[in-house]
Amino acid sequence: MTKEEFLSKLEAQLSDMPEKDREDALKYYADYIDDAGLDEESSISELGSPESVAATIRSESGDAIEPKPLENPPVDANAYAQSDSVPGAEAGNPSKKRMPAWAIVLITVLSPVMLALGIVALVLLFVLIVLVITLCLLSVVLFTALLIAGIVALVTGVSMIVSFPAAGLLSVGSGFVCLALSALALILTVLACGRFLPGFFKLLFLWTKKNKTAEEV
Amino acid sequence: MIFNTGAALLDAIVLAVVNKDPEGTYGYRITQDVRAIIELSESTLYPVLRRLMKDECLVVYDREFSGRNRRYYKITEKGRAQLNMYVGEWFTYSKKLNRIFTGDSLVYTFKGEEEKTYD
Repeated sequence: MTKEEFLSKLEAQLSDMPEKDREDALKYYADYIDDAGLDEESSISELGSPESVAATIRSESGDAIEPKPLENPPVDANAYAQSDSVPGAEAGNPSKKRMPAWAIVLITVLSPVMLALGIVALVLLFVLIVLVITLCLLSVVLFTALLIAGIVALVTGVSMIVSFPAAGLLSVGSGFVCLALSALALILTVLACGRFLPGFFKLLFLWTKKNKTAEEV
Repeated sequence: MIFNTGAALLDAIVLAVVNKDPEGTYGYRITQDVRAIIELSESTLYPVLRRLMKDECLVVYDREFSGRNRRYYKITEKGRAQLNMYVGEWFTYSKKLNRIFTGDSLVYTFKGEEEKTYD
């Protein structure tokens, strides 16, 4: 088929269209054939048959079949949303699932709230972690300090028990008190670092893992 | 592409392509530029151009090119406003999609918070 044959067949197909619309369409396809270099007989079929091209021209311009052109429709995004997909643009999935409108509204309204809540939760989590680690470290420091103080007081007390018996006894006594307190601190340390801290992180780990599986599902 | 290209998105792409050239551009060029982005059969573009012309988003004029008159399509002020609207909508839309696809960490934490209450 030559260019002229193609165009005259197309013109015949569009004979019921208003003249201006038909001329516009024919001009477009004549230009297209020239610019694409489809002049050779075989390559013009790349466009499709004149019948299918005519169907394409009509497909998205319903008012073209009307005897006279309609008023220009207002530019409205909703109007496009109704004629959902363009034929030929995509031979896509026919069963397109849509989110119900209320869900979209709800998500849109709640998203800043969710974001704010998310940030608050993140900050709280961070504070909690820091607090737990600080408490554990504190108990270790307390234990060490009391132990050293106790030993020092004990040694000092013994060394001066002969020259200043009263002061020496006081020092020895204080030393024992410190050692007893350090033993208590040791129990606290063991509890905090040995059980509470691993327990806390295990909980944290389980919780995030659960979230991950929940997200994968 | 496996996603549907709706009429509005196709309009937006065509307006963006035509908008690139202040002098306007011709049908074959537009088709090639659009086909570089989405799958489209060769004859599909005309209805889109036609619709955009009806909506006064595009105007046509003929210009001499190598011994013949070639038709050029040019964006109007209205078309530019429409394009801006589409681009704004697209950014909002794609941001939301990106957030849900990449599993935004903040949303993630909030979901975790919700989970915890069932413990």
